[in-house]
Amino acid sequence: MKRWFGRRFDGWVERSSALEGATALACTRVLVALTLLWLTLPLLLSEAGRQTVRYVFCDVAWGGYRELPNSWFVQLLGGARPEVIAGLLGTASLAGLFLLVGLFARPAALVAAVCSHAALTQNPDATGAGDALLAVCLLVLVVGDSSATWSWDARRRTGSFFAPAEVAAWPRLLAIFQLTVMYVATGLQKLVATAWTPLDGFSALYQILQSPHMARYPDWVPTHGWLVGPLALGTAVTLLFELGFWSVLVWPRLRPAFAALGVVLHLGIALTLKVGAFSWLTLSLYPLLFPERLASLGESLGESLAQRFGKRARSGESAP
Amino acid sequence: MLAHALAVVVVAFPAPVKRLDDAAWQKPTMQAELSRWTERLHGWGLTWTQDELRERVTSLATAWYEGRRVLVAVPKAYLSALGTTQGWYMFTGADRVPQRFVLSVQKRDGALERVFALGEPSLHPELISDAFLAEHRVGRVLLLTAWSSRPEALPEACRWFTGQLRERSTTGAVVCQLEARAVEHPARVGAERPRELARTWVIHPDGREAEQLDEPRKRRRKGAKR
Repeated sequence: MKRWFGRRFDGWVERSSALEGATALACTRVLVALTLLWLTLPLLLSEAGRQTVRYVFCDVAWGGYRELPNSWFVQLLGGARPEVIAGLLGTASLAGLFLLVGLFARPAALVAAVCSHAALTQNPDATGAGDALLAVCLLVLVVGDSSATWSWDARRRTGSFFAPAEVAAWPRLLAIFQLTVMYVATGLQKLVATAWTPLDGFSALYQILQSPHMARYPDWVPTHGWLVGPLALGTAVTLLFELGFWSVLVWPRLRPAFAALGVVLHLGIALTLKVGAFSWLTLSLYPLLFPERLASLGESLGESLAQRFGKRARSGESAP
Repeated sequence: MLAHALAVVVVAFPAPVKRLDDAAWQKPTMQAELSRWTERLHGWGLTWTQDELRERVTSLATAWYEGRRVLVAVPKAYLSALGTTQGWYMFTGADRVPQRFVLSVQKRDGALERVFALGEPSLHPELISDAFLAEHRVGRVLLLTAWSSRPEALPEACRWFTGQLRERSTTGAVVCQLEARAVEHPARVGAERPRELARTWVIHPDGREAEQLDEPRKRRRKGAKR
């Protein structure tokens, strides 16, 4: 038993200390940055967004609807007032831009994590799994070298934006593990509700899609009776997908099937429910399931792009 | 890294979010769950009544909640400091009778003019815009306004919306209602699926505010006082 554990532990240490292609982590960086900007910029730039900031994130003393349990950081900045929240969201957006182009990616991820967490989790009534997942994604980008390739950092280091690079594998493994824990935990939670089981005809999606709070088209489901069957199937598949996601850790060959199903599931959620950035953040972590494939794809794509832009640059230089 | 992974598993492991109190059990969704589980357990040969099942579930959930609180204290503090809390409660229990927030203004003749009902397009976008109502965090706050066991949740929301309406020169009394409607399949709840008012809060032009009770609720409250 001791020997078995020893072998497992050595194997695990070896695997997590290994180096691997950097493209998967770079893909996640770009996708997380885009999602962060999609989340923060509308709150700053649109009238509805600014009204939301006042309603949701500000204390009652500064235009909100209730007293908020301000974090020490927000208190230090002067309390949950519109200009403080806007400042935090603005800084997070700027850090998101740095992340997007891969310039000082690690400090940018840290700044984005601190500022977005302070602003978006101000109000316990308005925070949820999407904000928790944003913090997880940004933590992965703080500990992993996500700008080793496809970034301005790579260009500064090597002279090429697309230079192939190797990074430590453990941040990616940690992210996949976290994704698995998230899916399995939410699947287990659902088992207490009869609507997610055959006990109530797998009726959960039928009910959720009529929620006036979260559904995009709450009146659509009851007027289309034929949806009952497909939604019951969707409910069962969702539960099985979540409960079975741990298998991607044990059998990597199942990853394409789970990823394909996950993409369909999350696009479905994004199209029918108002859950913020949750679906996009989850999908941002999917490239981490395929490090080798993305490394070879990234290398060949990077080479062809470098050649193309190199040629253009050279022809531009020689033009009179 | 191993310690972090362990902390993630321990804190993410499913648990009751809070103690199951009487108010929680009174919610229609919880009542329906209790009735369905009682039926199912009868089918499996366990002849507990709804009250017995409720007591057993409450004591199990309380023991689990209290035991877990001690067990996860340290890893939870560590993960909270990192900002990576592990609350993956996503559509855990579908709300069978959601209560939506409805905002209206009383006209001079006493009739109510609806401004918006959550889940439908705003009838007065110049007062409360559709883009604002489409924000997922606004929907979430209004969900908790209805679901929360804090009685002041509705007055708080109502005061905020009244402020918005007053800024746009609306002068009548503002009426905020929580309207409940079953969303289960018509085979279970009937084709009509009628809506009923769960609560009404009124803020008058002079700033006075009060809960407005319908006749059956007035009678229930009087009976409770006796």
